[in-house]
Amino acid sequence: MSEGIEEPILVQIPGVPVIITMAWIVLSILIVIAIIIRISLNLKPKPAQNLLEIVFEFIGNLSKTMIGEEGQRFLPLFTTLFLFIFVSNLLGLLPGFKSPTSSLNTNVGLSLVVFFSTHYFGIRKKGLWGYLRHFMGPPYWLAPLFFPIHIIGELARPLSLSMRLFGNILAKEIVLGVLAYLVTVFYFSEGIAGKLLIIMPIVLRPAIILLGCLVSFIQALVFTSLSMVYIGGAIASHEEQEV
Amino acid sequence: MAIWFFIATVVTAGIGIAIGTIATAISQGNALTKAVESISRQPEASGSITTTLIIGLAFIESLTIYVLVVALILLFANPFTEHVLKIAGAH
Repeated sequence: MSEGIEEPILVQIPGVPVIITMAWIVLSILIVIAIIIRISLNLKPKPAQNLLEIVFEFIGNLSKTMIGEEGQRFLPLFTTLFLFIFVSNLLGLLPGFKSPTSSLNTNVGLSLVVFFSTHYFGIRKKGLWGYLRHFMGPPYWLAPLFFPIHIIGELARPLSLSMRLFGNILAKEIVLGVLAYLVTVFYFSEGIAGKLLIIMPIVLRPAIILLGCLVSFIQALVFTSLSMVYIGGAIASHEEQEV
Repeated sequence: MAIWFFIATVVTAGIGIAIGTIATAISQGNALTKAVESISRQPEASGSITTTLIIGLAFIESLTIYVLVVALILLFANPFTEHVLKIAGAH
């Protein structure tokens, strides 16, 4: 999208898009960590195992507050989403790498998983008619009005979910790319004033990277908790809906 | 002729981002103020307030992100660029 100001890519497999390569890197990082921790699984946890247990507990508590006791069943989905998005956001902060989530394709894939699993679990819980009935709205004579509105709302969810992650991560990457580009521009400029301006991007870039760490965590958390809200709304029982 | 198209594109992207950011900043500030007030009133409810706050901020922020995506499309992947260049070349 923004060819002029992109950082050069370090790892590149010919014939494979950069985003796919980066997604493979994220997957291999996660799988290797999981295998190592699985081998050294112990009742007295080592630091690495402790860290992963913290993540599991955190996501578990979050899904308990959002969905309730039923949320434990979807814990694998939520933890996978959180870990994948978090690690791929952080990967973009390393020079020479690119976040897989800075491409709309990855995000649409992730949000379609959430979209289809929402409706699948909703239909499996309540049956097709019971699930469709909660689109109709509480008063039956308003159903022709409520049904299209609810359908549009449902279709807007994956759009906003993917656009939010995409915009945040791409904005962070573009800011980092522009700052790296400004270093070269100021370095090759003429006159002492231009050369002195080089301090600005060099000082600013670590600050943006720190902000990027925060944004990575927040966006992964937001994506995970929004999918919890969606799935929790789909499988919530009718008695709660009426109130 | 074509230069005015690109000037208009860049100015629109900049002004759009500015307006979107102002509105979002005000509303996020309001949300944060209320959250801090209610946490100081009820510190035991801080966990659920924080979760709700973050989700709400994400919803508010996504509006600015839409503006950002539109601005990025205008700047880097403008669908009308080829058309304008073709018309300008014909003259």
